[in-house]
Amino acid sequence: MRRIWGFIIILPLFLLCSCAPQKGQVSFTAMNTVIDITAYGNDAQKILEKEMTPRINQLDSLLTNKISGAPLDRLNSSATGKNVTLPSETVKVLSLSLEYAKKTNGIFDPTIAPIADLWGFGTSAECLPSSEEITKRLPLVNYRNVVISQNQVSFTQKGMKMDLGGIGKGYASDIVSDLLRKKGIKSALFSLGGSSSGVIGKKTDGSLWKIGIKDPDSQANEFIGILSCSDIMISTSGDYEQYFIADGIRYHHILDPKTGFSAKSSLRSATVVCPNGAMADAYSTAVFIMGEKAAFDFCKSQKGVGLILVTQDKRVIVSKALASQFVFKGKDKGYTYEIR
Amino acid sequence: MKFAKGDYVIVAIVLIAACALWLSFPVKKGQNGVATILQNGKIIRQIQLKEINKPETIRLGGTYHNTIIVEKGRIRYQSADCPDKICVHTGWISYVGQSAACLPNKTIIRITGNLDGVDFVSGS
Repeated sequence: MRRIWGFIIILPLFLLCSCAPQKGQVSFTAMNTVIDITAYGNDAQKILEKEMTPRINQLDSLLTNKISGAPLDRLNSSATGKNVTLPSETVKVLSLSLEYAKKTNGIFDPTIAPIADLWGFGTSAECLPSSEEITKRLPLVNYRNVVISQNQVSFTQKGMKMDLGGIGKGYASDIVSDLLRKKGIKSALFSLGGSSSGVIGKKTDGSLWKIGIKDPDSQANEFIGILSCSDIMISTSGDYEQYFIADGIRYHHILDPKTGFSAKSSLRSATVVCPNGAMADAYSTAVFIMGEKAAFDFCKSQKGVGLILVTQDKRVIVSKALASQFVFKGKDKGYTYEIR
Repeated sequence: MKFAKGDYVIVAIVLIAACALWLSFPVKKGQNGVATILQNGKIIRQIQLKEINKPETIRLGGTYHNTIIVEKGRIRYQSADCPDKICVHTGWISYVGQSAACLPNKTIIRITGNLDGVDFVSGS
């Protein structure tokens, strides 16, 4: 009988130790935001600490335009037409950003930097620039004036600057996903600043990950719906993320490259769901600026891209392809639900 | 040693209980409203916000200096000597999923807990 009791005590402990996948978790600051990664699998914590964190920090130094002497800073300080040799990964992300600029017909434009500098969103220099200042700098915004030849990049116009803030976190999501998969991780959830996130596989209990889509009106983390998903990237752009009010007008950080002002969108937020993080990041900004109708027209032309839009008039509109995975939770908050 | 009939019943019950425990283990969420303070990716403090009875001040060194104040149910950066002070301007945070950060000093305050049935909130 004594052996039975020994068996009774040891068995659950054995099952727990032998069957539960190892959980790894890191939270750190990089890429001008907070990075959170949770992964399940062998050596998950070691992989996150020893390989993932240094890799993200490396990406940060390759993609930032905030640090003097960084590759992008060298490009942005260069004289017109001068070729600047940059690290291959910086050039890769620059090329990718130009590709998405082309696909969105310049609605997403990484050369918005001279205008973004005037506004200073997310910095201590946040201010409302004058129309004259914006008008003066607007001709500098044109992705077609960036020339890339192998690892050399140049601008065809004096005063141009590039900012990879609209794609960098999405690209980093792709790197996180690739590295974890290569290391044999089959279940993970990661977020880069809350706006770019992704999941690998399903949860360790075999169920789908449940991602809430934030209610733009909520100060807390309330959500208007839940997306059940696996192996996907998600990016949300909203007018509530960084904004200020001046003279009774609300100015948010999603700038329209055509006007230089905060995009006058019919949307409060745009969430893009697709297999690629960089694409999700760039497209969420673009479809926010496009507004409801153009956003759906655009995404229908892009393979594998799903949309969840929250409009100014409190409608939640979800792509047909995502509808079966989406549970609407906004009724009590005054939202209505549409599938398109 | 011979197993009695009752022993088999006990073993069966334990097996079922162990399996149930194992199945529930991965989805077990943290307790509601725990503030975690991190610096350079390392956890400095974890605080059950609902259990704070009198305000507490926490000071963090590093490249810059942060002063964090915690009250019942909420926490914030009270002051900092970093260049942008975005951490201080973030104000109080109190809801699960919210965070505040001083990027120049590589510090983060994050509130973890049950997110009402979801694993993450996109756009938060």
